[in-house]
Amino acid sequence: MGTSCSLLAIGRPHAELLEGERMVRGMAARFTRFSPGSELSQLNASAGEWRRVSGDLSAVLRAALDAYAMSMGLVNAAVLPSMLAIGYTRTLAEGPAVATLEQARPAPPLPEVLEVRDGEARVAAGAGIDLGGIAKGWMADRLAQVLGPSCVVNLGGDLRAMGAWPVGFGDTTLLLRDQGAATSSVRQRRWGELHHLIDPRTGLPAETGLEEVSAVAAGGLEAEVIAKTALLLGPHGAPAYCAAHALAWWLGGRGDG
Amino acid sequence: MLTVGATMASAVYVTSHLKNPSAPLQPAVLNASTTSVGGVAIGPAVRPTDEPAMTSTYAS
Repeated sequence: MGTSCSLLAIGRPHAELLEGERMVRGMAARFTRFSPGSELSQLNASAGEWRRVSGDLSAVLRAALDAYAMSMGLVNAAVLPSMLAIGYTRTLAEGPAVATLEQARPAPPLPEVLEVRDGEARVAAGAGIDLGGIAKGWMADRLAQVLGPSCVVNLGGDLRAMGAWPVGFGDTTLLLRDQGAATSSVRQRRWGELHHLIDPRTGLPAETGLEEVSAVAAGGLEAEVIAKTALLLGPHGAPAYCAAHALAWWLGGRGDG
Repeated sequence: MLTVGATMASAVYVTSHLKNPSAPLQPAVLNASTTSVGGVAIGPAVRPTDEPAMTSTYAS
């Protein structure tokens, strides 16, 4: 996943956590776009045709459609062509490729290029899906449900707590009870003037006046969607959006880091 | 007579309990239910704690 993860639990055998780690690695291998053999890459490669997908990938794709609706189109998994245009063609550990920004385009509405039905999905020809943080939030929620009470799953900052857990949030600590948290930022995964967080309205790296947003919500995926939406809305729209959707939030602009 | 009395009493009660129609109800509710700690806006479903954090949300 290109990030650090932690699984914490109280009163559970170590073997359960190891099994949780195995689950995360397995799901991440299916949802990554950096491996040509992954389930997601194969779906993208067969754009224009219906393709059989696993129950997990089907669920994440449906979550992506829900995220699109919840974010008024700002969390749009159809930004893959822009990701490639900015040079994010491989893991950043391998280094970015040459950017071809003239090929970046506003992302199409996700429901127009992604269809999901029982056991199958179809990406429209010319389109591509990048699950990014949606997959992280979804996996945190999924694994927390599997592990059950008294655990917290943290996948690169997208986390889900089951039971009550003190969680670092900005400069303070919050007691989360069966809730999730996530952070969206343009301060990481950046190179030169570019970074990984694409604004689907322009197809280019987002420049909204906010650099980092953290949010608490009922689950990890919901927190991820809120944090990214708020960052893309910028300093004028984010407070009202967060007040309507988040249980707690922090907005960071220049000088807050 | 009893009906008239009850009607008048009801009218007085209702009139004296009318809300100010220009009161900005929703913003007041939102403001009252959110606190700020260290720049973090916190709603009533979450509370800050002095316990050490076991894990954190962060950018990755």
